[in-house]
Amino acid sequence: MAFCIKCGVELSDTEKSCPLCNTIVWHPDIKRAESKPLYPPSEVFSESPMNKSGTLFILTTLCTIAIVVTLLSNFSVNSGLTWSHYVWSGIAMLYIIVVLPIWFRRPNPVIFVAADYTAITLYLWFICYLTGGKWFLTFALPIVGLNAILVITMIMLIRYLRHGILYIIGGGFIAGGLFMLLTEFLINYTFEVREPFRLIWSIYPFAAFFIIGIALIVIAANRPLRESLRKKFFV
Amino acid sequence: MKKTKLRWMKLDNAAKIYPAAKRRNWSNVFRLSATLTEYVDPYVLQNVLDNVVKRFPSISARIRRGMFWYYLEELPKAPKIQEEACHPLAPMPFHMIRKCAFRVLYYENRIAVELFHALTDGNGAMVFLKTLLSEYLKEKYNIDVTPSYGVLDGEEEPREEELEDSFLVHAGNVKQSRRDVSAYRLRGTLEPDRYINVITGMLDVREVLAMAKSYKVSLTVFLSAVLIQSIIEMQEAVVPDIKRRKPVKILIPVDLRRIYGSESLRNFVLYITPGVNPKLGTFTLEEIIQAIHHQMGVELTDKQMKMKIATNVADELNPVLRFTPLFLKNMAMKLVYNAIGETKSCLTLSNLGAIKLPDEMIPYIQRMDFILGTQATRPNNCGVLSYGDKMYINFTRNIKESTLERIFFTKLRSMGLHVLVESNSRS
Repeated sequence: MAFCIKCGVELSDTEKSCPLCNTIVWHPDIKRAESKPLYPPSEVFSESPMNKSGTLFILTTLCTIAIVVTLLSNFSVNSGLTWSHYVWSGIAMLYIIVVLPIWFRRPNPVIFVAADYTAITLYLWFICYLTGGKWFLTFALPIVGLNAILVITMIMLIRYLRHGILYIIGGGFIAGGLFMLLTEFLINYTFEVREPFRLIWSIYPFAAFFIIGIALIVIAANRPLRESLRKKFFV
Repeated sequence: MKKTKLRWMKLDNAAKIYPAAKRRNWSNVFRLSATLTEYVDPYVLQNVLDNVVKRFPSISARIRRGMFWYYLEELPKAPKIQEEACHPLAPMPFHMIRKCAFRVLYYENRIAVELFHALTDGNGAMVFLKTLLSEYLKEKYNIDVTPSYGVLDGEEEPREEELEDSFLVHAGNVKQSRRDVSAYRLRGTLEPDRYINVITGMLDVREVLAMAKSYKVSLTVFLSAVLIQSIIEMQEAVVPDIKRRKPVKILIPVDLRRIYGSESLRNFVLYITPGVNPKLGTFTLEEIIQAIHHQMGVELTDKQMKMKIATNVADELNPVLRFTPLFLKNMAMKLVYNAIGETKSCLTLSNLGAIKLPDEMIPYIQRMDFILGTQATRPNNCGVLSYGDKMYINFTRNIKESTLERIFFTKLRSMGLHVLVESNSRS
C-alpha cells in the first residue's frame, strides 16, 4: 500500500509514480508488490493518411460530366460546336487551377502557380482566337506574363530565403505599383483609349503602392523602428 | 444451404448524429468491462459470443450507407474476439465501423466490449455485456444463471420492444428551443499518437453516498458539483479576469428507460447540461450542489424530456431533411455538430449507477468499469459506475496534463473520502 505524499490518494501497485501529480512513489521501508499493468503496453497508432482518391474521382467526374453535357447541348441545339468552346476551356482551366494540386502529395507552389498562369494564358489566347481579337499579344500576354513573374518571384523568395520578408513584401508593393502603370500603358496601346504614355488613373495606385513599399523597406532596414512598431502593434 | 436474411434497422433518433459527426481518426465510442476472478478463456468466450450475438441483432451490427440515411445491418456472424494490445478505446475508424461497429476484447482477467455509440447507449451495452458474461460463466463453470438484473436469456429470440426506437414512441407534441450558452473549453497538450490516458479512482460507495446524503442530493449531483468546482479552479488559473470567464457546465446523460419504462436496447438517452456561471462570483461547493440539484430537478421530468425528444424527432421527420441526399445531410449535420455539439459543456459525466448481477454471477466477477471515449474537440470525459461496495470513476483524456483529475480527486480526498488511484500513464 502506497500513498502519494502530495495528493494524499492511495496508489495501486501498478503505479510507479502518482498519475495525478507525477510524484515518484518511494519509501525506504516499504517494498512494493510487483503488479502487471492495468492495460497492455501500448502499440502506437499512426495517423492513417487521408485518402484523396475519392475527392479526385468526384471532382474529375463532375468536370467531365459538365464538359460532356455542354458539348452535347451545344451540338444538339446548334448542330455544331459554337459557344461550348468557352465553357469547356473554362472548366479545363479551373480543373488545372483547383484540382491539379490535389493529384500530388506535396504540391510545390512554385510549380503549380506557374502551371496556373500557363493555363490562364492559354485560356485567354483561346478566347482571343475564337473571337478574332487582336489583344492577346499586346495586352493579355504581357499582363499575365509579368504578373506571373512577379508572383512566382515573391513565392520563391519567401519560400527559399525565409528572411527579409519585409524587404520582399516592400519590393512586391513597388513592383505592383509599376505593374499598374504598365497596365494602363498596355490598355492605351492596345485598345487605343488615348496616347500610350498618357497615364491618368494608374498614377494613384502606383503612388500608394510605392509609398507603402518604401515604408516597409525603411522599417525593414531600421531595427529600432521595427522594435518600437512591434511594441505598439502586437496582437 | 438456406441463406439467413439479415435484419436491418434505421438508426435511432439519437444515433443519427454519430456517423455524421465522425472524423478521420475519431468516432464516438465507449467501453464497458468486467474483471473476473480468473483468467479469461478465449476459446469459451468466442464460442459464447458466436451465440450471444444472435440475441442482440441491433448491437451485433455494422453501419451501412443508404441514399438518404445511414442504417444498421445485422452481422452475419460474430466478430473475432481480440486480445487487448493497447490503451482502451483504440481508434475505431469508420471503415472498421462499416464492417463491424463493436469489438470484444480480453486481457488477463478482463472482458471488455467497445461500441460505436450509434449502436446503443451505456445501459443497452451493459445488458449485452451482462448477458455475454452470464453465458460465459454458464459455459465455463457450468453454473445456472437466472435471467434477471438486465441479464437476458441467450437462447431466447430477440423481442420487438428491444429493437424499437423509443424516441419515436415517446415524443411529445411541443418542441423546445435548443438555444444554450457555450461552456468553458478545457485545453491541454494533445498526445501526439492519440494515446488515451485513463485514470481510475476507486472509492467506497457507501462513503460517497453518505457524503452525498449529507448534502441531501444524489450521488450524480454530488460528483457533478465537485467536478464543476474543479473546472472552475482550472479556469481561474488561466483566466484571471472574472469578466472573461465562461460558464462551467457538464453534460449528464439521462437514461430515459427509467422514466418511460422502455425495454429498448437501442439508444434511449438524452442529455442535460447543468452548471454555474463563474462570472457571478466565487461559488462554494454547497452553492454549486444546490444549483445543480435544482437545475436537474427542473429538467428531469417526464414532460420536459418529452419536449426535448419532440425537438429531435421533428428534425428527423422534416420532409426536406428526409429527402436530402446523405452526403449533403452529413455535411450539414457535421457543421451543426462542430458548431454546437460539443460547445455547450466542458465534458461528459455519465453515471451508470449501481450495477447489479444475479447472485450466481457475483462470486466470479470482481470489478466492472465504464470508460467513455474523449470527444472530438473536448479532451476530457468521465464514466462512473458502482459495483459491489466500490465506485469506479474513470477519467479519460487525450492530452498530457492530468490537472482536472488531480484537482477532482484531491478534493474528494480533502473531504475525507479514501481514494485508490490507478492508471495507464506512460510516465
